Amino acid sequence: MTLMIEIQDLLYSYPDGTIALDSVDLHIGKGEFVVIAGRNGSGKSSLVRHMNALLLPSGGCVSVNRLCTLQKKNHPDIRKAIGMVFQGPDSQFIGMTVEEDVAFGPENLGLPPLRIRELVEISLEMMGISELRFHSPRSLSGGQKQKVAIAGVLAMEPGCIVFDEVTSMLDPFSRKDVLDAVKRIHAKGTTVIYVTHRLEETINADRLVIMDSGKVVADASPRDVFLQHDLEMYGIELPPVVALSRMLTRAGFPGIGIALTKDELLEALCP
Amino acid sequence: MNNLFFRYVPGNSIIHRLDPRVKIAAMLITSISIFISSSFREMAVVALVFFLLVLISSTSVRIILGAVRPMLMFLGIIFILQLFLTEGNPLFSLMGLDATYEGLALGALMSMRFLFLLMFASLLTATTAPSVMTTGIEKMLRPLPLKKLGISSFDLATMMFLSLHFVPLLYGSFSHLRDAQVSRGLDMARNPFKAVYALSVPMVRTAFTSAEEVAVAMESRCYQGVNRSSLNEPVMQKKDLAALLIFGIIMFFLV
Repeated sequence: MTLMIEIQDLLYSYPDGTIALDSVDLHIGKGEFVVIAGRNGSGKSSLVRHMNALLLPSGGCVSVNRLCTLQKKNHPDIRKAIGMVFQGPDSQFIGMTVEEDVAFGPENLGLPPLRIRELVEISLEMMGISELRFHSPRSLSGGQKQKVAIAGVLAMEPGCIVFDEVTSMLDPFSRKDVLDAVKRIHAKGTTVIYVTHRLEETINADRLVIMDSGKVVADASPRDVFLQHDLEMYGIELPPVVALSRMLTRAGFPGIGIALTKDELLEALCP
Repeated sequence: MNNLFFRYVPGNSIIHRLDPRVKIAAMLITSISIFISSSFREMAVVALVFFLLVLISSTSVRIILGAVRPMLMFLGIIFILQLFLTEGNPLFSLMGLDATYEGLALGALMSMRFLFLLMFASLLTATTAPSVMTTGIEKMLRPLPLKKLGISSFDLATMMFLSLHFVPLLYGSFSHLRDAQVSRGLDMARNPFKAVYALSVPMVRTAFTSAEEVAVAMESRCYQGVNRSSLNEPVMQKKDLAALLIFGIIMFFLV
């Protein structure tokens, strides 16, 4: 697998001296679906903000496609390679209409108008919001807003998209909708880094990275993380199915181990 | 207010399709005409041209009024100041101040100037998508030697664009703040000074925070202030130039 993001011994402290990230090592390959989870203040947002050079390391090194974020001349290439969708959609809108907002990224890349038009079409189509193109982003519902924000990043054709708690302000239905869109994007070959504190959203991920007090405390497949770590210790609630299967195992039910989905649990209980 | 104030209304009229540079230039010509017109007859011509343009562009009157309404107070003050502070034949007296016929005429003229300026501006914003306008401004500024002053025409255009963008954003956060303060017992009618204080301080903070957030969002989408292109690149055609020429001549001869 080709390496996309390489983080080595990353140290980051805020201007007031508080340490936000402490010797973080993380390697992310092309096409992976990596979930980063942790309680509030665990450093997950700071970590992903290093990936497109919005924050620069106080120590150690972050490189994207072998370009180090410390060199300012690399920033345009890095930001083109790594798109980022944030938690609050309202403050990320720049355009007055959905179409204009989605076009903002490609416009910054200096692409010709026809190519921009094409990219906007494709991204809107992919998010299923083509009919909203002339609406003002502000007049949309929370889920639609987040889809516009995602389309805006898609239009730049990044190799990797970071989703920073994009579903935390949404109701369950919109959350599922947005999550499905994220899965579709990953299926098309884009590397996905998904920050959340809802582990039930992470079952399909290749890797689950758990952060606590600025450190990576677990980095494995979701199943292995659930097996090997006591996540409540890090302030993370287990998905209901996982919690239940763990309780059953502890109570002496044989052959369950860790079930990640309802079907898996059912299969283990009534083989 | 936040959805009517200088809002863009998508449409497909001749005015909508004109090159933004033509419209901006026409706006400049119009502003000059409005300010050199000094009689009601000339104002009537301006009004006529305005109504024709509104008809052609089929802009809704609500949009135009939406831009004017928040400024009515300001227009009223201009009118009253002129009415009372101009020397001439007395009309009536109020609290020792004399209103004059000349003041009435001058006041009416002055407030009409601002009124038409506002209405023309709202016509411009109603028929021109903000991104198209930004591109238009950027293209008009590009030949100027701004680079030597360390300013890029892209930056200037984006600044203008963002200030338009922030009006509804700030209005939204103002409503949130007001609701939050009122729900905690702030009585705006009884204690207006406290209300101003209680709203303005957090308002400034909110403005800075959201500016910061927008800046981060822009930066992460590769905004660099140089060599931007545009979704709707305007192409100046012969008919655009012709329209500008005709408009210029009309304004010149009539006003």
